[in-house]
Amino acid sequence: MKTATLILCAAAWTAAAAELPSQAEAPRKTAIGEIDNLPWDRFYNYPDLVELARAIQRRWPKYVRIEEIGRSFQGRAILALTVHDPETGRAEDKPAMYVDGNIHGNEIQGAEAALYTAWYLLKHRKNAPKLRKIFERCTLYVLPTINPDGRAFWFDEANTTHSSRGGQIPTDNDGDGRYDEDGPNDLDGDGNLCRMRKRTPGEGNYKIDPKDPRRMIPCKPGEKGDWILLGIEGIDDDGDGRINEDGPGGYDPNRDWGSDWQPSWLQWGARPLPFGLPESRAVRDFLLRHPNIAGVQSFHNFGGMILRGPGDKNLPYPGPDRAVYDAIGKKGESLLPFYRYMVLWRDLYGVHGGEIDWTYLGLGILSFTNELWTWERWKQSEGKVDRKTLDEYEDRLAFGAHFVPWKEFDHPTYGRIEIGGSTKDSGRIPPGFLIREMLHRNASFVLYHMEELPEVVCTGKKVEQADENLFYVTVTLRNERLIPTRTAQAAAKRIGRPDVLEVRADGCRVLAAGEVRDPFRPAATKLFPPRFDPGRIPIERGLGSHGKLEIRYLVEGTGRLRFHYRGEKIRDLAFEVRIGH
Amino acid sequence: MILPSLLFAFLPALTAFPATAVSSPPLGSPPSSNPAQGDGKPADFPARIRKRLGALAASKGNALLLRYGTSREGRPLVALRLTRAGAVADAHPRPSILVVAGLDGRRIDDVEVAMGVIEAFLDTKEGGPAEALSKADLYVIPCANPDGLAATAEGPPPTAGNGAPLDEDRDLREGEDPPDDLNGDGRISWMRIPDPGGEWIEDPERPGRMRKADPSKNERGRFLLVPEGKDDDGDGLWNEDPKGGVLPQRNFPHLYPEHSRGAGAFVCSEPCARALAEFCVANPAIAAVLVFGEEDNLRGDPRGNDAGERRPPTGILPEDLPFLKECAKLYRELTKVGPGGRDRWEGRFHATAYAVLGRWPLATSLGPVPPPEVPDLVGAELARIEREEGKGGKDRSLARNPPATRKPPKTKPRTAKEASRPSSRPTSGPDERKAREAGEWLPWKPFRIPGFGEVEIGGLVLGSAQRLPKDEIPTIARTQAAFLSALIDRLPAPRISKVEVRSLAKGVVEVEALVANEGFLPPLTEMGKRLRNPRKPRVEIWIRDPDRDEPRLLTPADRRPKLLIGRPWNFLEGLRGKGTMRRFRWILSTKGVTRIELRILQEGILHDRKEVRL
Repeated sequence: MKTATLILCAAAWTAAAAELPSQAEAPRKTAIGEIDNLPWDRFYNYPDLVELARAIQRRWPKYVRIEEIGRSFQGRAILALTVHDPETGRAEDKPAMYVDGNIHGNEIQGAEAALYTAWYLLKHRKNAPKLRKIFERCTLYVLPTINPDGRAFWFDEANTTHSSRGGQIPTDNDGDGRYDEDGPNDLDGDGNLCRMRKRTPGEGNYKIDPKDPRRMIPCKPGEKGDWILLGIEGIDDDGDGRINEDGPGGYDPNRDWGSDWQPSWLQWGARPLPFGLPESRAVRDFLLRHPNIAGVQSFHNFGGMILRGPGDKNLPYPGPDRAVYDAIGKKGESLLPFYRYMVLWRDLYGVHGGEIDWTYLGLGILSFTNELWTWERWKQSEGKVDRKTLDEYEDRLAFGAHFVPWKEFDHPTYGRIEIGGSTKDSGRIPPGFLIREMLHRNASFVLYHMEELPEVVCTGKKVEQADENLFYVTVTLRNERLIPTRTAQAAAKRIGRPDVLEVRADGCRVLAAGEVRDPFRPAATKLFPPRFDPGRIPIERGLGSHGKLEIRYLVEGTGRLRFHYRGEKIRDLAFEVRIGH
Repeated sequence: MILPSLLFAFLPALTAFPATAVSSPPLGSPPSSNPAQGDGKPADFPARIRKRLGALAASKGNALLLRYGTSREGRPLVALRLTRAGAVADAHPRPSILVVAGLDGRRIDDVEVAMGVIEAFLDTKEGGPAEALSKADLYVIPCANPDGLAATAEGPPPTAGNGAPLDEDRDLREGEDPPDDLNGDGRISWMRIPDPGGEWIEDPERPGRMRKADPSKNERGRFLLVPEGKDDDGDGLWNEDPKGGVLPQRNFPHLYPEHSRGAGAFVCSEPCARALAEFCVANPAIAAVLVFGEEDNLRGDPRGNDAGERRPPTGILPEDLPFLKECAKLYRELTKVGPGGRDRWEGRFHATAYAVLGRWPLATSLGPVPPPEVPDLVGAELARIEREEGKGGKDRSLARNPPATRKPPKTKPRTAKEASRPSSRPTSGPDERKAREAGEWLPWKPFRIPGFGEVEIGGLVLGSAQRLPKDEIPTIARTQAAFLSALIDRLPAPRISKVEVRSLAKGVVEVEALVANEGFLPPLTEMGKRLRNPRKPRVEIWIRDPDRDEPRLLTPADRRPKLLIGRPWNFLEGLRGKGTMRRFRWILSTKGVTRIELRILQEGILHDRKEVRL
C-alpha cells in the first residue's frame, strides 16, 4: 500500500513537473555561481568540477541523472551524467552519445568541454530547433573526468604543463623496487615546476637568447655556452645519484584499453595487464552496460586535432566506416577553425591500447578524440606558431603571467643554480577569454555527431496480390542519418546483437521473407535463410549510413501485420500494414 | 614525497603475497554464492578438488591453500602453495614455479595429474620430488576453469569454455542448440547421415574412421557428419549453438584473438582468466609456468619468434630459445613422450606468461600422445552459413583451428607459423598406432531420430581426445613431478661465489665480489628484460647499526662505513646460463666498522647473502 502511495505521489509529481517545467527546474544559484549564466571562462579543480556537475543536475533534475560509476585509485568518484528527455522514452532506449574528458590528468579542459556540452544542450533545448530534436531523440552520457586523481594532482600540486598526465597509482619507474620515491620538487614553493639552469662560464652548452633573456637556446656546434640546463625542479630524494627519475604515477591511462593492447616494452605507459586501472574498468563497464551508445567523443589537449583511429597501421578500419568517419571529421574541420581531421597512427603517432581504438574496434562505435586548443587561436590565423610567436602573444594577451622569472636557488647537489620558466597553465590550455569559444565549438561538434546518430523510419509499405489468397507485402526502411545502425566493424565482427525485424501476423500467416536487392527486378528478392523465422529476422549488417532495407514478405490470407524494427543503437520503430482492407 | 615513498616501499612485500593475505575459506566449504554448494546438492567436481586441497593443506605443514579469485559462476579459484617445511609464514618470497591445469574444461584428467603432482611433492620419502622444495616453491592451480570442469564432470557434453551465455549462430538466442546424448550412452559422439550432398566417406583403409571424399580420386561423399544431437531450435542446423561459453584459454592478452569464436567479449573478460593473470603479476617470484592443456612446447622444440623487431613476438626470442629447448629435451628424457603437439599462442596463458609477464613458458598436453586434431564441424558449419548468407565472413573455424598438415618433423626450432599447426604425426611404429587411437572411438550404430529418420551414431567421443588413459594418470603425474623437480634444480640461482677485501689505506678498503649463476636458467628471460618484469636482481651492501637488530641497506648518506666509490646497490645484469659471472667493486671508508653483508635480492627473493669482514 505504501509503495502504491509512493508511486502515485511520484506519478503526480512527474505530471506536475511536466506541466510546470520551470518549477521542476531547481535553484539557479549554486556554490559555483548562477548556473544559467555560467561564464565558462575558467577551469575547475576536482571538487569544484563535481560541484558543477551536481549543480547542473540540480538545475535540471528532470532531465539529468547523475551516478557514480566507480572510484579512482585514490578513491575519488567517477561521475556520469545521463541527459535526456524522459517524456520521449527511457534513456537506454534511445541512440546515445558518450562524451568523456581528461583521461590525461593534465589535459584538464576536456572535463569542461564535456560538461559544457550537457549544459548548453539543456539550457537551449527549447529555443534551438536542432537541439530540441536532438534532445527529444537521443541520450547524452557525460563523464567529465575519467582520471580524477590526475586532475586533482595537477590542480593541487606543483606541476609543469605536461606533468600529471597519468594517474596516481605508485609505479616503480626506475626499477629500484621503490615507488614514486624521487619525483620533481617545487623547490621555490611557487606552485609550478619550472626548469633549473646553472651558470658554468665557457663550459656550458646553452646560452641566453639575446632577443629574449628569459629563454635559453642551445649552442651551435663549436660554440661555447655559459649555461647548462638541469631539467625540471627537483632534488635527489632517494639518494641514488639521480634526480626526478621516479615521480608520481608513471603510466598512461590511454594505453590501458583492450584492443591492440601491448605491454610496456612496445607501448610506453601500459600497465602489466590491459584494463589494469580502476578508472578504465569503470568506464569499460559503463560502456558495456549501455549498448545504445552509438557515438564516442573523448576530449584531450592539445594541438587542434580531430583524431580517429587506428592507432596502428596494421589495424584495418572497414571502408564504409571510414567514409562516415571522414564525413564527420570534415564537418568538424569546418566547425573548429585551425583543427585538422587526422588519423592517429598516420598523422600523429602510434598508440596501442588507446581508448578510442577499443570503443571502435572492440565495441564497434564510431569514436573521435579531439585535442582541444591550438596556439593558432592566439593569433586567430592559420600558420605555424613557434615558441617565439607564442611568447609574444602570451606576453601581450596574458601579460606575462605564463612565465616565472629566473631566480637563484641553493641546490643540495648542484650548488648555486637558477630556477625559472613556463607556468603549468601555459602552452596546453587557453587563457580565460578564449575558453568559452573552445568549449562551444567542440560541443557543437559533439552535437553534430549526436544529430547524426542513427534513426530508422519506414518510408514505404506496399501490398500486392500474388495469387489467390496470397499477397506480397513490401516494407521499406531507411536510416535517415549518417551513422549506421551497426557499423561495418560491428557487423563484421559480430559485436553486440544484430538489428531485428519482427512481424506479428493477425488473421494472416507469413510464409516467407526475403530482401529486395534490386527494386527494378522484383524477382531478385533474396530469401532469408530457412533457419530464420520470417517473423523474426536478424539483420546483422543493420542499416548503413543513409541506408535502405526493403523486405518482401509472402503472406497467406488477409489481416494485419504489425512490424517492429529493433536495434541496440536506435529507437525501436513500430508500424502496421493491413492486407485486404 | 618522502612519506608516500616510505609507504609504498612496502608495496612489493604486500603484493608479493596477495593471496596469502587473503584468508582462504574453510576447507571444502566455498562461499554460499557457489551454485554447487550450500543448497543441498552434492559437491561438484571443483568443490571436491578444493576439499582435497584443503585436507592436504590442513595436514601438511608446508602446504597453504590460497584463494585468488572467483569464477564467473561464483566458484572459488584456489591455488596450493607448496614450500619447504616451516616456510609457509616466511616473509621472503622464494623462487617459484606455477603449475596450471584445467583451463580447458574438457581436460578433467589434467586436474588429477595436477593433484598427483601435489601428492608427489608432499610425499617426504628420501630422494623424492619433495626435496626440491628446499630450493623453490611450487604453486599448483588444479582447476583454473572450475565452471567448465564442473560442466564437463556433470556432462555430457564436455565443455571447453566456462558456460558464459553466447549466441554462436547469431539468431538472438543463446546456447539453444547444443549437442544431445541421443542414444543415452552418457557420451556425445558423432552422427553420420546418409546424404547425397555429404562430403564424408568411411576411410577404406581404416574401417569406421571417416574422412572427406577426394573428388580428384574419383571419390564421392556419402555422409553428412555432425556431432550427436538433434535440431533443438528447429532451424535446420545441427548443434550449432552449444552452451560452451568463453574459452578462458583464448582470453589472455598476448596475441589476443579479439572477436574470434570463444575468445570473449574483450581481453581478460573472464574472471578465471583475469584472476590467473593477476595472480602471476602479483607473484613476481614465479620464474616459470607449466601449463597442462592443449598446447605443447615440450614434446618438440619450442617455437621461435618470426615477428619483426618491435612487434609482439610470435614465439620465443632467440636469446631465450636455447634454454627452453634444453627444458624440452629434459622433459622428453624424463617423460619418454613422443614428439608432436601444437603450440598456439593466440590468447593463451603460457604465451602471456612469457610475452607479457616475462616468465619462462612451458606447456604440455601430458598424454602419451598429443591430442589429435578434431575437425571443428560446428565452426565450419557456421562459416558455411555465413558464406552462403553473403556476410563475407571467412571460415572462422579454420581461421582458428588451422587444418592438419603432414609436414615431416623438424629438427630445428619451429617458427610460429609452423608451431601453430598441428605437428606431424609420427610416421611409423607404436607411436603412430597410439596417435591414431587417441580418444575413445565407438562403432557406428544405427539410430532413429523421431521426426527425422535413420542415422548412425559412433566415431570419436567428443572430449575423449582431451582425456588421458585412466591407468596411466599416476605415472603421468609422477613423471611431471620428476620434471618439475628437475626444473627447480635448473631455476636461476645467482650466488656470491667469491669476495675479496683489499686494504688501500688505513681505514680504506676495496671490496670485490664475484657473482655467478649456479642455476641453469638466466635470472631473467630476454623478454622479461624488455618488460622489466620481473625486476632485475640487485647486489646490495647491507650494514648493521649498533643500536638495531635488523640489518639495513647502506645509503650514500651513511658515514660508518662511508661509500667512497660505487653505489649501495647495483643491478645484476648480464648473467645468462650456468657459470656466467659478474664482478662488482666498491671502495669504502670503514671507520671502525668490521663487517658488512652482501646480498642478492630480486623481487623480495633473497637469492644469497654473504658476510664480509673488512
